[in-house]
Amino acid sequence: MKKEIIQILKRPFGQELIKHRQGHDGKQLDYVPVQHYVDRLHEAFDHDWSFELTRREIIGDQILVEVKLTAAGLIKTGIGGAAITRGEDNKTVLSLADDIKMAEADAMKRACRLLGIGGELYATEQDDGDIISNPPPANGNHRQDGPHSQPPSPLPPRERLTNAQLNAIKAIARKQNLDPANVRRQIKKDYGVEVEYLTKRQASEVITELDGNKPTNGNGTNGNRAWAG
Amino acid sequence: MASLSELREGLHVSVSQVKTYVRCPRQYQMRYVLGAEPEFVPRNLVLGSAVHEGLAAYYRSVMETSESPEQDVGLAALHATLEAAKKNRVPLERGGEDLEAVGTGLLRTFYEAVYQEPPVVVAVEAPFAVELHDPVTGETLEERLVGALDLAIREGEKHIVVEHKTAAKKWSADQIQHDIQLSAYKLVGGKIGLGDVGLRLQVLTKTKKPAMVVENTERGDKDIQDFMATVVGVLRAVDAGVFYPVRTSMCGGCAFKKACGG
Repeated sequence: MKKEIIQILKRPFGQELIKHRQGHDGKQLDYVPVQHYVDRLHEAFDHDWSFELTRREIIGDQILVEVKLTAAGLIKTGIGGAAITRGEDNKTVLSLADDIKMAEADAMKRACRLLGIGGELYATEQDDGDIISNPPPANGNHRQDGPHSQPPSPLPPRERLTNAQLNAIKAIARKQNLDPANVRRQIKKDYGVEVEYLTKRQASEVITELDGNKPTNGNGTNGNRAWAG
Repeated sequence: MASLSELREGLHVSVSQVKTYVRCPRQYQMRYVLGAEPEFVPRNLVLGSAVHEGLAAYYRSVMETSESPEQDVGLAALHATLEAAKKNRVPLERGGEDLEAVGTGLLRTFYEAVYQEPPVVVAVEAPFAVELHDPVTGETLEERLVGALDLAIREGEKHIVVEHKTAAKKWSADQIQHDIQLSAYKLVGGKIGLGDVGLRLQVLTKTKKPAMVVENTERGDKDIQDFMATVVGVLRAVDAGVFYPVRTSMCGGCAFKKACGG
């Protein structure tokens, strides 16, 4: 890849492009909207790049997507996810399309990251590329505006993984013929806790990692992590 | 009906977990969060489980035949559980009383008390999983309350949930009044279709002359709210990583003593 292109890709985003949102745990997160990643791709490759959605799956309450980004002869894959947002009754799905878009944007950003875009965000990553800018208010009250807003709560949101995430981890492991004991052991090794005590974010990581695991000859290894023990 | 182990596959909380946290948050962390292997299995725990199995075998037979079986039914279950404990990978706590002898004595005492008039048994070791709600926000918790009712019987029109205990001595009135397990069973009884259940403790005391003490008790809405508040409080404390040690005389018999540094 030409040096000029690499410079364009690695150029940090300007402060004016950074937006803010509330994280699941009430912390304020900074992020750069996916459109700016797209703009950067246009600039670097003069619009000569392509993006393909290679997979979309809903597991429990999680949407998982995989995208393939092709540019200058390189192919980069990104996996992203988002939780399905439900109403106050915990049943009504508020906007599945928005949740899917969020998962796709997440995957796209991850693929872009492999080309060098937004690397400065991930260098201090706290939430998949988002930066924690401010601690939550001391009284624990957090208000999110917009269609996904929740009523104010006197207590901070729970951080423990959801039942859907726990089920998804077990279901993916089963689907890939992985020994549940080995999966449990690996999670304990990686995170220092039993699978039931992962945080939501850690559980998402495990789901993404397990999902990217391509079992070959039934040994369940992906080169990075030996889920098969 | 799903088995207890199947119900435990989902995100859950048990009365035993809550009691462990209330007694010592560090022990909760060791046992459940870190999944640390205990140094030994406490003898009291093994004895309690073995007696429970003996009682369950008796009540299952009563449920099928409406008559008391011979003592051997319960004693065989007691023996099998104790033998299994000896083969466990985690060793049995050393020293102490002869568990087979103590357990046999307790079961014989139980038989003497109930043999002539067996109850109308509705369920034995019945697994349950019920939804829990945060009493402050009203939100449904991700964790379901999972456990098993020792015994449910019918007396007239009312169902009674019976909890068996083995104890060094008779339970005090305070213990009976504030035990959260009974509050949980009141909640569960209503949710699994047993209606407004009565609550009974059958305590087998490991005194020189074993005895069976039967205590009837009640729980109201406030007790249920208190139970919910305790469960939610424990879960939130666990979320927040609050795992301080509680140093008491109990530390000497704790199976995580070395790892805890107590």
